[in-house]
Amino acid sequence: MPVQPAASTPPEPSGGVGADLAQRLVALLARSSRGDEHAFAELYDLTASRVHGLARRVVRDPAQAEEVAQEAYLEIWRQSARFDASRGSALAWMLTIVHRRAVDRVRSAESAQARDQRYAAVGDGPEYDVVDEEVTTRMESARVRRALDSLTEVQREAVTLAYYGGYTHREVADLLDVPLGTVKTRMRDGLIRLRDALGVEA
Amino acid sequence: MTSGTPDVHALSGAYALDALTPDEARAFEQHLATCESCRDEVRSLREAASALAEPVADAPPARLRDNVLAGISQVRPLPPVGAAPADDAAITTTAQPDELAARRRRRAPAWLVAVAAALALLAGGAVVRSVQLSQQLDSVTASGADIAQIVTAPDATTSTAQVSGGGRAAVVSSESLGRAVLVTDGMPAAPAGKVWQVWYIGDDGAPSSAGFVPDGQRTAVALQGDLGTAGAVGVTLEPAGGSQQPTTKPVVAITV
Repeated sequence: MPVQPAASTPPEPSGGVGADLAQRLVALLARSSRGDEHAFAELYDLTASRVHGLARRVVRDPAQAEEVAQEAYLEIWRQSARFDASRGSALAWMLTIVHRRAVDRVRSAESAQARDQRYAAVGDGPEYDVVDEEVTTRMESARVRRALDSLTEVQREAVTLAYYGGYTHREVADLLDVPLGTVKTRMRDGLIRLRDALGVEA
Repeated sequence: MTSGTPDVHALSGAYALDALTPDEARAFEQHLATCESCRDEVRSLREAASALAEPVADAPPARLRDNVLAGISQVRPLPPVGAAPADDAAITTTAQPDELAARRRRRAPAWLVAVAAALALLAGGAVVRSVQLSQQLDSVTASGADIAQIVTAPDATTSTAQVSGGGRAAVVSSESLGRAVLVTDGMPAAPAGKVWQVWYIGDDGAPSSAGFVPDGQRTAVALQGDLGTAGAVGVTLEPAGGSQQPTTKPVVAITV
């Protein structure tokens, strides 16, 4: 196995994804808000792997993940006029919609047993199933993994159980057997460290 | 409650990870409306959290693209917030994007979930394809908002029954609104030149037309007219265009 070059990667601009992509998404959202379905198709092509992958990671069931992704895209289409670039990147806005829907789905649908299975599957860290062809995504993935590695173990567990597992902070506290206040702090500190490692503008 | 306890700032991380319960998230959003530093922090933490989607990226099957593009062709994008109609006035004046998303999240899924729950009853617990459902609601009945209002009414109740000839049907009714939604699953398609017509059946047995069952495997439609004193909802097969009075025996009658 080739060794990764040591931490020589220069920080990249905010959000990580290339500035070109970020700007392109903003323009496509604007055209979508005027009913341009071709623009939305391009928006889909540029984001589908991330959207689908995130839904899949959280809800796990492939059929339900597709439903969540489809519902999320429909909402993105409907809400496209209400995206405000001054409040964050287009990709973060879209993925927030996806993530909330995915989390709603796992929280509303599951039995206690399914939750246990989900926890077992989440384990103490994400599995990185990178199946995406986009070079930018692959590079970005490596960068995010390195950034995640810079978190303490408890921070990483708290962040990934919440984001990939869809657990509430109370559930994460129970799972990790630490006080709720500690979990809140770990989530915040973990995200701050992640943000700084990724070079997101604070 | 405006700024909450000092501790409330510490929730920014959990909020950015969607790790708060809906009540907690609402409370935090109220705080966000008054705390610029928390808004800025949440914005940057959301960017960081969203980056976590990169390592799990996974190309979807091609059918997802087809379904998404078919879905969006059925609905138009909402107008910008500044041009929002009166009923969105609250959003115009107070909502942050996060709150907006949350508001929509609270609203749409709540009614979809309620309709889905009715469908799940019908389908014997089978997984409900709410995506299809929402498309049907958007494209067939064009009354999603009505459906939403009815099925999420505090006093909404659901009754179900078998349809003779196949499938099941449910009525979700709200006495306070005087409205009802008919949900069907697996009803056979009406033969050519015929429609499934829906009737409110009064306590005295007198029917009044309440609309038609949309085409589709699983459907939901907000019934026309006032629930009033209707004791039941019935469905009959009628010539295309419908009848003034039922001309065939009901395939289903659901007591409400």
